[in-house]
Amino acid sequence: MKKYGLFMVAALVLLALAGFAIAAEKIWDKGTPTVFVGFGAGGGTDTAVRPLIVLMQQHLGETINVVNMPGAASAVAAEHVMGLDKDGYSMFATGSGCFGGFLITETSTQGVPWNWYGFHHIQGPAAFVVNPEKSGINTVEDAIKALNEEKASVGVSSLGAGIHGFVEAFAKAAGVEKKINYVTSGGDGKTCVSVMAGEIEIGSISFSAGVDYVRAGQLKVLFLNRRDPFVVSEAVTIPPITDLGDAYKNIPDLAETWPVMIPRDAPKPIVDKLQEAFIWACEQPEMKEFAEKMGYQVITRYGEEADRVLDYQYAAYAWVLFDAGMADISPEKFGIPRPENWDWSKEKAKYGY
Amino acid sequence: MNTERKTVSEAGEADRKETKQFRAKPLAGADFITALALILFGTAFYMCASNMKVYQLFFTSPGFFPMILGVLFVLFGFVLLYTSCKRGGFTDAKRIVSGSNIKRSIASPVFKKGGIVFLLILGYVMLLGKASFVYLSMGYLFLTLLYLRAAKWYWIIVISVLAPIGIELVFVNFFRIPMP
Amino acid sequence: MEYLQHIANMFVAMAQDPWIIALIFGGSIAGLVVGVIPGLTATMALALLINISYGMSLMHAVAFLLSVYVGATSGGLCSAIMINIPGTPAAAATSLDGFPLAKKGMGGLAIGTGFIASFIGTVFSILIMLTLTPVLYLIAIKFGHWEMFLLALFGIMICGTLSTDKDPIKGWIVGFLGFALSMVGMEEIYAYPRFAFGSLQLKGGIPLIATLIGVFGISEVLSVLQEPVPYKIEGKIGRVIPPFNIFKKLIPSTLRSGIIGVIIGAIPGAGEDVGAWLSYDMGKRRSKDGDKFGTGILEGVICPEVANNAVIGGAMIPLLTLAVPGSPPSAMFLAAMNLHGVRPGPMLNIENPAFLPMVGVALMFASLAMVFWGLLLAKPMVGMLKIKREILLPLVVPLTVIGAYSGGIRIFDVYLMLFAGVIGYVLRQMDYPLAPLVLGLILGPLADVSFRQALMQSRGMLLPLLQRPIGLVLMVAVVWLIWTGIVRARAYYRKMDTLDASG
Repeated sequence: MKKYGLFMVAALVLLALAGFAIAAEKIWDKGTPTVFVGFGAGGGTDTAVRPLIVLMQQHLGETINVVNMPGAASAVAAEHVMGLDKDGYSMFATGSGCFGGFLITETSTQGVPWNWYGFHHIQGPAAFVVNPEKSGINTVEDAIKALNEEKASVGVSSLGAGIHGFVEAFAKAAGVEKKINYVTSGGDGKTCVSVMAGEIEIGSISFSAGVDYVRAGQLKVLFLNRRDPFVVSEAVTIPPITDLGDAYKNIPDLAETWPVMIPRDAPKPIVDKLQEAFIWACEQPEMKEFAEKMGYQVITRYGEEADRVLDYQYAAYAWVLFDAGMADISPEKFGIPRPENWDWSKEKAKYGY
Repeated sequence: MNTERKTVSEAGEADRKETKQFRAKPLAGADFITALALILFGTAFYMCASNMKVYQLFFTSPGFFPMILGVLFVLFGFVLLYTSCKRGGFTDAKRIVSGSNIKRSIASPVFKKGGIVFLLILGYVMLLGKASFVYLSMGYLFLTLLYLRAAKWYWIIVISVLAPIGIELVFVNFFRIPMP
Repeated sequence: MEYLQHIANMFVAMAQDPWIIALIFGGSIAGLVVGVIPGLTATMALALLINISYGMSLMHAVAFLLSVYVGATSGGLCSAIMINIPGTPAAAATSLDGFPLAKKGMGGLAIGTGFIASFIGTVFSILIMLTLTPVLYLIAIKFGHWEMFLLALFGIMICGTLSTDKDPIKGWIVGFLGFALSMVGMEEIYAYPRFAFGSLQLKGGIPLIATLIGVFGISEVLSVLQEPVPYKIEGKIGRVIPPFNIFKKLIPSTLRSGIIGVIIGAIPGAGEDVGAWLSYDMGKRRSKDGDKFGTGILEGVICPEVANNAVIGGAMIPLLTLAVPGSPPSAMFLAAMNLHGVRPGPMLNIENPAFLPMVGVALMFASLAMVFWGLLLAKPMVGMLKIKREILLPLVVPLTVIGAYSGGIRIFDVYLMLFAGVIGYVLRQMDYPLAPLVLGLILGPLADVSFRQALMQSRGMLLPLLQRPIGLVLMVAVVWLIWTGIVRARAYYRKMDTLDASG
């Protein structure tokens, strides 16, 4: 009996050691990390971010939870994550166009770009979608006319999001004089359904959320915010916004990205590990295949480059929103330069470079 | 927390006794008091909501819906006030808030027992995060079961030691749920 | 024909794969456990398991996740019946008759009937889903913001009327109180923090799960344990599987509940809980034994349980055709499918014609596994009923703490749970029903945001909204509810007056 007892004790000790070894190897040894996605499940941001997270956790060999926390162009989620401990267990994911509205619409004081360290895997264009059968809007001219006659509402997932800023930039270029009537839907997918059902005349979405409706012939895309045409199928080619005329050439090429962001103060070992996993994930064939199917482009952007691009978008969107009267406070008050005066060498100090 | 406890004592206790004795006047006094509270709450809610920022349109602004709710609460309050008054709510309410009734309620065994059960939970919750979840749960279960005389003392020890360990095993190791 | 072939192929493929069967039975029992424990919900379980499912093949993942979903939706009925604490919000209506049944010593029968009803509900909804998806998704499209608002209002008023057998106005008050609670925190349109009073914690809003377990769980613990002698459940366990003729008699109720569940499921935004309440309401109004609802009759368990499970199949309809989830757990399922490269939406049937049959067959197996475990475990569970409440209820407390904490991973939620428990206790003492509070918290944001979005759409004018046909029907329904509610309240007080006079 004694022999068995000793054997048992030895086995237990071994098990405990193995347990310690496994625990020591884990990046998040106290629990499961969570990414809070600032928009609803199945929306544009959600579908863009999840594949990245899945590939990253495959590389890390650990589970990362994903929680959808929609609200106020993801300001709710940003504030939430910033309010938690910056221990590397909580991350945030959103569209890059959302940051511009945080300070000037007083939705989030903490969620500004320089408080985060971001991983941007893909970029994709914004699109104007319509349902000609229900709304009678078939061309860009129809859309401008309807907006000027206040006969069209524009659906956006959330006010202050990148696609909202895009509508304002478009309206300015197109010379729309009337104030645009927005209807929020909570997600790009829902915007598509509302346009399809004829509830809303025009939808401004990130293209990936609507690409299937376009393939199925249920929605029509008027144009994409990119510099060259996009071929959906043999029959359907979508023109870029720059084809519409010279006025539109000044709309900044703010191709939206959907970064996974971790608070900049998070422990460095965790950030480094994430970065390694991120680079690995972007190289996987699954990522390329996914991007191709959805009309995205893999960019693998991180570090200072990511901060630089995001900071420019941040400034551009902030001013677009302010000029459109969507914010009471001028970006100037926060020292946000107009896009034409923006200079990275001046801005980068706040990122700690 | 204290104020809630008071409400419990005023309304809950007295009414329970009353309803046990004669079911006929269901909670007239308590309803009277709630009605007043509801009117106050509704007004405060409305005031708060009406001070919220107005964006493009008044109708779509954050304060609009809460303002409607505030009005509804005031309305409901008056309906409740009316029905309770018809059942003699005012006199009953006076009885409830009378010193002797409150004293009697606090002294009642039901209130004492409920209070201690609650205080045990309160202590448990307040200590969360300051000590390990398993030990805290053991302590809580031991004290509660002991106070309730739920079982023989040795069984109490067995239950209060084994249950938290089992819970920890299932949740942390199987479901991977974070513990306080 | 090709479609039927797909279904048949899928059936054979799944039945032959031992891994699938293992995953289905494993997922089902895991789901049941999650459902039984107050505070752990189907949504949470799916969120946690999505990542695990990514390593599986598509078919395995679908089978696994749907089994968890079905299991968790059904499991809530056990705790609702046994300890009067609904394991999930969807099971709140079940406790109205389930718990009285358990007190009568018919707990085993109630649990068995509940599981069989859940099974029937799921299977019914699968059949509808497989055959009528192209028609029913039009309903989902027809529900604009205005209709969603009215539906939320309708849902809370029904729940308020039902959950008390006395004064419906009290139910409504609690329901709107739930609305009021849901206003706390940043709202969804402008991210304006309402009623937060500068507190960062309150800005995040009042968490649903913590409130649910506080209001039902802690208040139950307090009100039972304060009694000098807490109630005991005596008697033999008795039979668990109900005799067939019980169901035969209740075919109309079952069918009606199934249809209600599917339709509510097909409407995006309204979920299992609304389906259960609506079905209970219709049951009470239409049944011959309507006046016995709430006293502990099997029909009162069957109606909500058939409906809350029928929501599953219904919710798949907009999910698969529009990529718009019909309920929170189905949103998690959608996310999982996206990970597997399946894009539900208008192209699904063209790109992936075998997917709908796959979901249907997987759900079928999942419901079989659920009813298998449910009936198998009913007896031991009822055995637990006999454990003294003085032991059982204190044991529930640490579980509620975990449930509240794990939702948002903050201690603040646990404090809120306790606070909600005290509120629940006070309300209970004063004859106020608790369920509307929780449903109000669920439906509040929907009502608020949809209402304001509808007004955005109409540019602030009410008239265009009043001309919408489905909206009109819903408005009539709400007005009718108010009217019958007032009539009932008056009748109730009149009865009380006569009692008073005679007593």
